Amino acid sequence: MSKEKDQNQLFIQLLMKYQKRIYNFILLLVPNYADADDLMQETVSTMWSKFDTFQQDSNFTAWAIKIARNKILNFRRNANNKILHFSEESMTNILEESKEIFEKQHDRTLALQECLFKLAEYDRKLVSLRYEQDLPVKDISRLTGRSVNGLYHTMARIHKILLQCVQRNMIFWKTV
Amino acid sequence: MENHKKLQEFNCLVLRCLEGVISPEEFARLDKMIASDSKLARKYAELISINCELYKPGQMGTFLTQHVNQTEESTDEILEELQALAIHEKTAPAKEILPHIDSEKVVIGNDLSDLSPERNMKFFVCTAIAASAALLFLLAYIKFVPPRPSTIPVAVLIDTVNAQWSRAPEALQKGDAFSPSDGALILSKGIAELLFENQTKVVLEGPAEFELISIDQITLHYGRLFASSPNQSYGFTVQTPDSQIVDLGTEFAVKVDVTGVTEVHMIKGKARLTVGNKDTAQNSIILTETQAKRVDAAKQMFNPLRFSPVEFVREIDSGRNLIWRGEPLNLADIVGGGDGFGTGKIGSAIDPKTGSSFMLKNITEWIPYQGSDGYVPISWHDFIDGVFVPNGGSGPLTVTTEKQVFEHCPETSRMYWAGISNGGQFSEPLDAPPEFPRLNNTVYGNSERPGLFMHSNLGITFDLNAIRKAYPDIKITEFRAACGICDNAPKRLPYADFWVLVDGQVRFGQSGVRADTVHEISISITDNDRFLTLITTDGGEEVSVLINDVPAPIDSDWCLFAEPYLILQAKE
Repeated sequence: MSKEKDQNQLFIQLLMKYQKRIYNFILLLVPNYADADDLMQETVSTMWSKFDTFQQDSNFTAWAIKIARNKILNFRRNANNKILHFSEESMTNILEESKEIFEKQHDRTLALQECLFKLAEYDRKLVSLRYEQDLPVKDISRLTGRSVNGLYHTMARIHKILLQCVQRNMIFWKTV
Repeated sequence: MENHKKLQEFNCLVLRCLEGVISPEEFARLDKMIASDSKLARKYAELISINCELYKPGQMGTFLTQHVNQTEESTDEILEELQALAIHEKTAPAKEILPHIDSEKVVIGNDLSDLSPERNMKFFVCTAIAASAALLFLLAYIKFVPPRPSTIPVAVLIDTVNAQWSRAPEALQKGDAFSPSDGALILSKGIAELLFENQTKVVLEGPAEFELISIDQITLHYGRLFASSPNQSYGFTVQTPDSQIVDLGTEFAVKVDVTGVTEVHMIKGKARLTVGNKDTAQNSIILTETQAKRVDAAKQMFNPLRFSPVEFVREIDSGRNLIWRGEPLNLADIVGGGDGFGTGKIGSAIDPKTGSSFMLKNITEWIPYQGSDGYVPISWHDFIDGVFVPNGGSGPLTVTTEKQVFEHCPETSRMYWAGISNGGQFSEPLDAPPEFPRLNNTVYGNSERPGLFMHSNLGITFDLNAIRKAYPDIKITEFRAACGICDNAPKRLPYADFWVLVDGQVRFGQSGVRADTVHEISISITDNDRFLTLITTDGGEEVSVLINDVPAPIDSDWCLFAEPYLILQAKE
């Protein structure tokens, strides 16, 4: 009983530590929040039920991502042509370019914190409405009186600003 | 590649993809961009990474974050949830929506519904205090100060009548400006008139709660509102809990009850009525003049409604305590000493020989009086120019203080009965039960249906300029009435003439009116018309009843002007 309890504790600790990484992987290949949420849930469920097969000295993230990848493949297979998915070439490029990003995830997170502070007031509000209040873009459009299309352009601009800021911070921290 | 437009498009495509609103063609374009350019692939990966940090990462992630301070109890809870989830995954059909794991936001501090402008922006990070000191799962919650509502004035308080405010800027006075930053205002009682920056006049009747949104938009939470826009502007918008009304020119009225149900009455011009607001709206109609609708938000429909413009105050004047709801001016009320809007005495009459007023019920005997020649000016009421007993036997008859004449006034007996009265009951004979005059089986001469009782031979002139001066924001457009011999006149030989003159010119004449006939009167009035004269004459019949051995051609000439109204309109 005590061993089972320890196992449970360990699973939860590992999951809490790496779940963001797992979700990031899913979202990379299935860039749709709703589908990614479902796949994340399926992945965690399978991880939990198969945790007894996990080698404790091996890489938890790699193990989890393998399960997630299978889930994604099944998802595509079952949906046939009903969902949009990247070509093989795109997926290869994405996975290749994302390696370094994942390696520096922690620093990027901290950098993003700083960059959010630096956003203009109106931009901060939009980000908060979308991500903190979880309001769909069309609801934000209704609240602000701006067109949906206009909001996407603004959000794209904000993301670009955040991205540039994060990159600058990463460079700065490297040289300090 | 570093082309700004291309990058902007790329970012938009990624965001739209994440939101699930991308089209197949757009996705194909995105796919092609990533497949053909590794730098864009990197950009894509970075964008996803940022979105991952910002977005609530699915139900499981949210669930786990509420147990960041992992305790033995929380571990057990998590385990139970995981077990339930695992069972569900095994048994659920493919792509079924998984059971929602309720979670609460781990937000330290207030949520965004609190719009306190003094709050400083804070940035909250959710961290784990577990066995590991590592950052488990970062949720970036941003605390911000929403943009302040504008303090730039959008409307001015023009006037109030008996207004009481339970939520308003302090010490509200005429001339004070309102801005969106005032928030929701409550007029608990009375009437308030506002003028918006786009020149739209809004009259609110309490109890009413409203917010001024911009120079051309108001939100009415409940209450009554009348809006009037100048001809050259349109687009003034009234938002209610279940609808939106956009003015397309020029006057409409809105009522919202406390449950949020909206009624719209189109008084002049047209407006667009939409269920919901501009983004949720699914049904919309154009309302035209004299149409009225009630909004059924649940069914997205508009139900027909009786057009009732007099429910809404359109003009106020605190100096005269005037509250005008678009109702016409009642000339009988003026004869009774009133202001034309129901303040006069029923049964009050004017003696045509002296110009003095008396009560009809005080008559103790019914005898015909002999009138004298000459026009009698009235000084006790600005709206009445004068009274007289008409007789054209001596030539043209003076009918105004400006010496305008009724050129072809018929010769009469110069006899008259009682006086010019604001309806009222009277008994004839005196021992009979008192009655109101009746015309075409309808009772007149009361507050509900006014009537100017003018047994021949009588005349009265109203001063339209004096009326205009008293009500400067209103114009007179028409005189309207019905005329005839009362049903309850003695069935002897009623035979009389009715005349309506404007500045001495005959605009309506009906001679030889007998019992059981009613005639409609409708006369246009322009701003240049000064005097309106109503006259009844005895028809000049040679053979008639003798009263006290005197031939009385006036006998039974119970002449009535029923509902004698001046139709009014707000000045533009």
